[in-house]
Amino acid sequence: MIEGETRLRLRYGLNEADSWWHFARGPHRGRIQERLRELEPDIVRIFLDDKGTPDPVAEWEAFAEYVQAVLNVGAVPMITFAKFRRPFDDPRALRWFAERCGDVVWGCLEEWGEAVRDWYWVVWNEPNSTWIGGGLSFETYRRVYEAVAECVLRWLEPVLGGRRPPIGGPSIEGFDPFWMDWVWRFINEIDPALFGLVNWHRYADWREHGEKGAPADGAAHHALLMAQAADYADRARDVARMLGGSGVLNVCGEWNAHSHYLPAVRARFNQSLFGAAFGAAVLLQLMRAGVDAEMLWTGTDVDCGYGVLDGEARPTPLYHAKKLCTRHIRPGDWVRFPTGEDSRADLDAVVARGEDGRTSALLVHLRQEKAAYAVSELDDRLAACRRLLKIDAGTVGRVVEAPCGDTVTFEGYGVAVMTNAPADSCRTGW
Amino acid sequence: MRLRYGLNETVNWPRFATGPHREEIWARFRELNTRVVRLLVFDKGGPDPVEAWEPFAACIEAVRSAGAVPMVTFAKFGPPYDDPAAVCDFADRCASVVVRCIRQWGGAAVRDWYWGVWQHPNSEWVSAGLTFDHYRRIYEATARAILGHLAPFLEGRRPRIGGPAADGFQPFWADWVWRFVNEIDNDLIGFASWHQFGDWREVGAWGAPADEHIFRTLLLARVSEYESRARAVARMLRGRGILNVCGELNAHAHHEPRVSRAYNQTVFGAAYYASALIHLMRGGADLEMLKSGTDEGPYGLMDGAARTTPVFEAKRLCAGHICFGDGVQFPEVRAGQGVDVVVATGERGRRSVLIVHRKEEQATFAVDELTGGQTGYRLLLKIDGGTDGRVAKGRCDGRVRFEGCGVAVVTSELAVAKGMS
Repeated sequence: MIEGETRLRLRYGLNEADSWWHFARGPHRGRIQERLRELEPDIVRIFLDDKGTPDPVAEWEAFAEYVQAVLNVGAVPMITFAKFRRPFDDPRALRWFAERCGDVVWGCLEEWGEAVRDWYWVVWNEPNSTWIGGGLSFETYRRVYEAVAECVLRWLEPVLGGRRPPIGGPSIEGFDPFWMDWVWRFINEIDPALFGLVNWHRYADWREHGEKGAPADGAAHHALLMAQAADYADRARDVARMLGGSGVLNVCGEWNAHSHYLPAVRARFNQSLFGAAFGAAVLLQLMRAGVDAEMLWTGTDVDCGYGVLDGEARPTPLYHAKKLCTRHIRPGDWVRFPTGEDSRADLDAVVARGEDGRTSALLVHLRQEKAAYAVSELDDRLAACRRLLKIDAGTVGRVVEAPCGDTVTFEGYGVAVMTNAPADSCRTGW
Repeated sequence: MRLRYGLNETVNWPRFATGPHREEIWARFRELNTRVVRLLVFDKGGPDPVEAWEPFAACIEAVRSAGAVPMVTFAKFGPPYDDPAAVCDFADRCASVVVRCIRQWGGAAVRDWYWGVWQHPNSEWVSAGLTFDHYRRIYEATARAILGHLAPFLEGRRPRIGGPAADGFQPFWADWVWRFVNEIDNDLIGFASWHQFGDWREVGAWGAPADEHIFRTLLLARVSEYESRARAVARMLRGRGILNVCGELNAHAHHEPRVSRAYNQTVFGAAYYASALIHLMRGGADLEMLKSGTDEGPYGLMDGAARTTPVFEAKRLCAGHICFGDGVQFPEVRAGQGVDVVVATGERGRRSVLIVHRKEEQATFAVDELTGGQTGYRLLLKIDGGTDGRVAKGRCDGRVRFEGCGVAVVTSELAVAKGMS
């Protein structure tokens, strides 16, 4: 092991929610699934009882196709029982919901067999948000969680083989100033036999330029957001402290740059080169902090302003950035961060070493201006890298490959990989 | 160790400055190694140095007598905030205070003082309708006006003018600090300040846990936020030479003593504050200022008669043994222990360990396990649920036992800081 190296534990993932139909049943689903498979996701988070997704009781076939699409991309599903629309405090409503969730698990076991033991299950989505999850009190959420987890475990336990239950919550909305309360109370007030993961969400902003105190100048607003990428690591470490080495997974189950209520606004942040650089910067911060899994919001979407693919599988810059990351910085690699514990203000980087002799570096340029970086200043091992893959304003939204030189230049926000891996190690081209 | 210790004296300043127990209060401030005392002027209840110079001057003298320098915070003026005449008038009034200070105490002294512009500009409660763009114009006008008078005495030093004293409960509080240092000429900035309290909610209100024990445990679990916030601000300030100042902190911000006193002025509050100090050290803060020094209400670590709370004792343990300029280490402790540890090495080989226990149950710790094998500590000083709100002193036998939340120091020195029982 080289000094400063740690094992990368981060597993990559995606959400497939509002545009699930295009992902699972649409005319371009084959191409979409192929492209998502190229991102090598381990987990895809899907929704029930929200986001217009199929009803697993009345529309089992559609639900099964939704799940099968996840399996087709090489991932396992994280099935989110998002909410119910009956009075939250009504014991009969709660019992109905919990039994329904248990029935879904039973149905999955019937359809897919014991492989289901490796899937994940999440109870509710953003219970602390009035807009999204209904604004539950924690006490109400705890009752819902315990009832659902018990019903899920009734079917799952026989196949788990003594492993910690792959069930979790609270999928908290991260703009809430008291978001930490929910994670702490989840860990400390719920029977630990009922959960195996803690899920939290984070977006950098929800405001348009100039809205509610945000900078009116677009460049300043972008720079402000980019400066917050490191906050993802702070938040992940806060969660890790609360978990205290318990073995419970630390999951960032939903993230992106921006969550404005209008798709056109958030698309400008999420689906641009800025979004690509921001996303890659966040991934590096989650790696640093030892997060166990991340799930970008979202994989596919049609006019929602989040997705890395549209309904016809056309990729955004963030798709390419994430692919550069997942193909070259792999779970289990030995990783080192030459830009330090917090990254630099202009550049962040990770160098990864696989057991197969592969050495790769992912570089993220965090500023709108042009810049050039000497490779020798980052890591001596990069001298052996022959291939440079890069996306920035100079590559017109695509990844361009070139031989590695002594420097890497960026035309504004951008992401690059230097690697000694041969081109054919990627299953498909860029 | 780059953290300097400070206190707010924004609430109870008349007793601090001119009360019958003022000299005892100043002596206690000195025991806490207080480097900076924050005062609020141009605010309701605060001194107005333009209308009444003498009370303000007495307050400054009190700060100096306490061995500190003042951070004079020009709190606010009333709306409209975009009126150029009002901005100009505010800047002129602030500058006139600086001029008079220089005249009275001399430029060589005043150049080391701190000057804050505004209090909680991001809070609708305090500054309704004030945007960052308003604030920037106010700050720039005020800082330039102040700097015009300070500049001849600075001799290359950075002016100790700063802001924005952002209220940390607001969702986008960090925007204010980021914009402050990215949108304002850094030659006008010496420090960036932010405020952080553990909570403002009463038990069971506004989504807070209804169970008192859970509420307290949760509050102590969230102390790590001081570190993440300090780190976030430190990142924004990197390479700029601007100080990272936590300008107000305490466990609970509720204004009613019946709600917040139990969190701020008890052994619980002592553990909370000592833990916050360790997290601020870890996060790279340059200066902390507890709210507050003296207070008849729920915040002070002593009252106007210099009667101290356990928080005072905890701060004295910390400030007396973990000193500015010491070498410090933060050993990783076993997860779930609820313990924060800092090891300081100072002059003449002095080595001290500050240990904070954040759990309300009994616990015993082996010092060498907490410090990565270091031994040779001779003296144990401790405050917890079993010491009746005072510091107990004894020989260190290599173990520290806590009766609930508490703060302890083990040190290689046998001498005890002056005044410690």
